[in-house]
Amino acid sequence: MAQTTVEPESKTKDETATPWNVIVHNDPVNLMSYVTRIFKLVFGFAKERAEKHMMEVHKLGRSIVWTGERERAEAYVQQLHGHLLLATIEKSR
Amino acid sequence: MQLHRADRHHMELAELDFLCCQFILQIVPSASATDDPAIQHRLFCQPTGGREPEFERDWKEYVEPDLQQIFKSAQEIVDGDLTNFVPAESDESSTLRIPVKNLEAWIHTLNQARLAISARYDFTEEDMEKPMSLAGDARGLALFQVHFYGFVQECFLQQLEDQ
Repeated sequence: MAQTTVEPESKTKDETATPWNVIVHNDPVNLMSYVTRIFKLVFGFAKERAEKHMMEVHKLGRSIVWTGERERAEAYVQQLHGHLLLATIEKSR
Repeated sequence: MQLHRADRHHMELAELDFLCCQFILQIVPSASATDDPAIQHRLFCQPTGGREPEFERDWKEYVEPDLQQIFKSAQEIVDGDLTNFVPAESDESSTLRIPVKNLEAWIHTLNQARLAISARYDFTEEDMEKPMSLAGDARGLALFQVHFYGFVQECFLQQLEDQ
């Protein structure tokens, strides 16, 4: 009888399926209107949603602006850094 | 200083006095300053906040050169718009015309200059919000410069918003 090897697939799937957050952090220098514009440009947010996230950053110090696959999260952080926003990726809890 | 739309394709910064002219000439040098680690740390921030050192090393090696190129491209556009700018002498005023198509690059470079100056002088939220006073020291003048760039940036953002 042939032996069957079971690959530890479930763990790998769990790892890749874990959503990642893109977080924008407060910065005393960036203008509120600038941050709002960048959210609209990068994520295609409507004005109201962009302003909501901007106010979260301003008042709470950070805002989760996107959640999803790691690769896309990295790409968004790169774009946000290109616009000089303080952004990081973080595993979603 | 007056800032208005000259025509469909141009913005005009008019009645620029000596100090405003000097600030405008300092936008690119301020934005591109690399002599202070605090500036580097702010312009090229850590994508995982230090949680993944290996990923951050890769980021530095592969992503930062692309970011540097983005920043440089914007600075070159601003530099190009300033090529024929004649700054005012002490008791005169100057005018600067900027193509509307270049406003994104101006907004970016003004922002970078503000961040770099603020990183150099370690300006806090409190510094940014307190009433401005030209105390005569370098820090006070730098804060005034940051606010001046912020005012111009805000006007340009408003122009793009209105389009």
